Amino acid sequence: MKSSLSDLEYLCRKHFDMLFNTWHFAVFLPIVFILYWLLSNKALRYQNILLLVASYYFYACWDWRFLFLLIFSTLLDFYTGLKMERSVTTRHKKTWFWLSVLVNLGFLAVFKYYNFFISSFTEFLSPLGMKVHPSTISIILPVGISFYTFHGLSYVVDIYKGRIKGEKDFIDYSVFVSFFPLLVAGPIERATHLLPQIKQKRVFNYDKALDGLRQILWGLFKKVVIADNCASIANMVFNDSSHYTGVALLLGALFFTIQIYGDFSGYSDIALGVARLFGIELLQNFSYPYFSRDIAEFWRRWHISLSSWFRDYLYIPLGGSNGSNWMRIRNTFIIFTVSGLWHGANWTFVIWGMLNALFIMPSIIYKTNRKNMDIVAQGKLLPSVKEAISMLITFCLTVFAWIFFRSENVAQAFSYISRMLNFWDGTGLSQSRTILSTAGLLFLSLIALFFTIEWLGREQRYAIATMGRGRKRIIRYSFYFLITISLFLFGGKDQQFIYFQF
Amino acid sequence: MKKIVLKTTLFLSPILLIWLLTYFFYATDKGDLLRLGYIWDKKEFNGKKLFAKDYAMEKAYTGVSELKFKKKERFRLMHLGDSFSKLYSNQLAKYGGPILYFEPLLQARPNYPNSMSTICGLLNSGFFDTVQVDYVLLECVERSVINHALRVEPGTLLTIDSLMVRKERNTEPAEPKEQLFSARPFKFIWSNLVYLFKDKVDFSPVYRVSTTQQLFSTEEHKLIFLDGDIEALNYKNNPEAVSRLTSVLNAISTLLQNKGIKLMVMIAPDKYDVYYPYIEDKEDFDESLFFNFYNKQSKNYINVDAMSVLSKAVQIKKDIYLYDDTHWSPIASDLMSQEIFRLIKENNDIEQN
Repeated sequence: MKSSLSDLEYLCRKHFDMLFNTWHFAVFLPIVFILYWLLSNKALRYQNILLLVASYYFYACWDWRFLFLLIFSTLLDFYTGLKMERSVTTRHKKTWFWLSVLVNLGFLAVFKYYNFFISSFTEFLSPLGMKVHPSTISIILPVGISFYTFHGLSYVVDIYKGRIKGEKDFIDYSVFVSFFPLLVAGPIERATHLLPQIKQKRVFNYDKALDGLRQILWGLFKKVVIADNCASIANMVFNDSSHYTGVALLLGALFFTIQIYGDFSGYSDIALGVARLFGIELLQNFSYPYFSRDIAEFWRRWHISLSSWFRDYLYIPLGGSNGSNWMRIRNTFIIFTVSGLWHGANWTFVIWGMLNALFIMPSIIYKTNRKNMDIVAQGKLLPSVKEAISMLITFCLTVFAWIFFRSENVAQAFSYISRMLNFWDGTGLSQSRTILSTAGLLFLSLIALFFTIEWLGREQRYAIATMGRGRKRIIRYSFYFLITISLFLFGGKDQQFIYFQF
Repeated sequence: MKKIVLKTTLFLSPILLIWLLTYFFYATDKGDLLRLGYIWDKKEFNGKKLFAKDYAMEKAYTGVSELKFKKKERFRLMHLGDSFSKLYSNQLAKYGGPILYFEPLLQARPNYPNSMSTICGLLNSGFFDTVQVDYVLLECVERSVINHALRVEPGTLLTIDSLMVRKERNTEPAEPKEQLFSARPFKFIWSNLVYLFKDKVDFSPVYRVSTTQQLFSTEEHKLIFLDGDIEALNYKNNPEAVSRLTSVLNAISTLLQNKGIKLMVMIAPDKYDVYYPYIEDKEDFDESLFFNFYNKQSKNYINVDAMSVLSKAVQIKKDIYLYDDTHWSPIASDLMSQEIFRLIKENNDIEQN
């Protein structure tokens, strides 16, 4: 899988990382949990200090060198936030605001995009006959930089806009930035949502904690069972795509589509569940996006924290949906292109973003983007024929776009698509049979069961939130136990969380 | 808070119990067969302890990866092969030297490591003009040797420069990290239950059978071996395939003779083959006829008859092969090294006469 990580960095992380599905985290979490609630009788400050220390430890396990960057970023935004708060003139306020924004984006630009822009610039000049040889620098991408940078940016923007006051307590602010469940792969929280919870005393709630454990279990199932096993097959096809054709490539794209959903939404579920164990509610990040009836709905349900961040801090300031069609088209393209670029320093991500802009464009122009605001087939068991067709079309469009997201480069993506469209190739059919037999009937059945559970639970925060309510406890707990066993029986594939590279 | 901690611990306790049993009794640092077969480690056999002295022998050979190729080098014997070849370099040096070892990681790919392709590659590149040897010992395990011969690539080119690159690039694969979520604990428990009633578990490549006498330093009369030993009978017991193997080896021998080098071939017998006479219930197990066919073939190279040497040794000594591993023990390494240099001496005597 393409990655911006160097080999050495990856090796370090293999030994010391704190993936949610590792021994390290399995020992870390209960210790922090028990200490946290033992401190609940003491001052709130002690709980927050514990959370901060635990979060820094969590981050240091990934890469201790970039802990200093995280702390610096935290200090910068905290300080500039206070300065903005205390600014007498608008000019001073603006100065501090832009200092924070430029430094934050500067770090992001250097660590994430320097080599990409340099090599793209070189490639752009080359056909014009100009040969330049700028040096690229060997940069390791700090884990989570895209996420905690956006935390900080939303904070300073909210202060600048007068939505919140600058936080005076450094510990509280640091916990907001570095809270370990969301530190390396989101959700991207807002100060207006998370900071008040950090500043408020938390009382242990048994039902909430149990709910948190349930969501963690479901998140682990999505990641370990569904995503990691789909990854094996998707990687098999994408890493050797020139040898596959037709239906086989379509299957590869489908498995990746399931992988990325299982992986990212699974991570988010674990993060939300872990946070709930500590009495903190995080923003929902996924809401059954593959049951969307149009692309606009898809983007209201996929990586909600990021898309709403771009909506609130970029789209609306640009004018949003107000103004002429041209303005709306322009703003939509900007948002999706930037969103694509946020995901990584590769033209494939940019094209992925622009494709989604293209898909959503008709609904923006004809103002039908807010048509499907409810839950599909709400209160019903099955969707209508019209809804089913809409979901299928939307799903196909996202699968198509994911091909760019997954491909190593633009050339591979186009080659993949052109070979995939060769449906009548007999080789592709026999290859697809091999792919399906590699997956195995049991796993394919598990995928079907997974989507069935997701469908039945689509009106809940997460699919199994209320599953089995009203049934005897033994039945409910047997179901949870079966899920737990499946983690072990289908686990062991050791695939990195996809969004950790962003 | 106490309630949720207790409830969670109770919920996870069956899994914790299975995990603990696996932690204590699943051998990660013993032989490959115990690991692959998820067999309960009763701690009665410890090859590393039993042969501690042999494993602690000071390195007395040169590896090709250590050569600088700045001047001509001369060795009595260069040996190469698969994982078995890692076992007897020091013993060879003990009985005659100097010894050069062509490490598996430098060997020709694909079909790693295909020693036959490697020798072709070295001949094509002029390697032996810089590194002069009297004998080349090619080793391959019985279950793979025909496959290697059928897949040999005579056009392989292994220049000294490419060897230097391989030395930098090729490393032993890192040990896989222990996974939190892994089927291992469940496979471990299940396989040990199944082994009580059957010789083999579906998901395991290891057979565990009873023997007529004690063959290893263990209490039980048990033999464990790889299913590959049996699966390979399809072509091991095929006289045409064996004939093709010998043709390939003869051709390689001719090429080496043109360089004044003698080829020695040692086919390491499958553990199953060596211990077959002692399997208690042979109803489901066919005998390997490989060496019956192979020994009848006409050869223009020196054949090191490992099967004969080790079959005799098994009658009088235990632990010729390691109980928990597919490979032979230092006892066999020593015996084979003696045999190799006996044959070299015999060959020298014939030439002088």
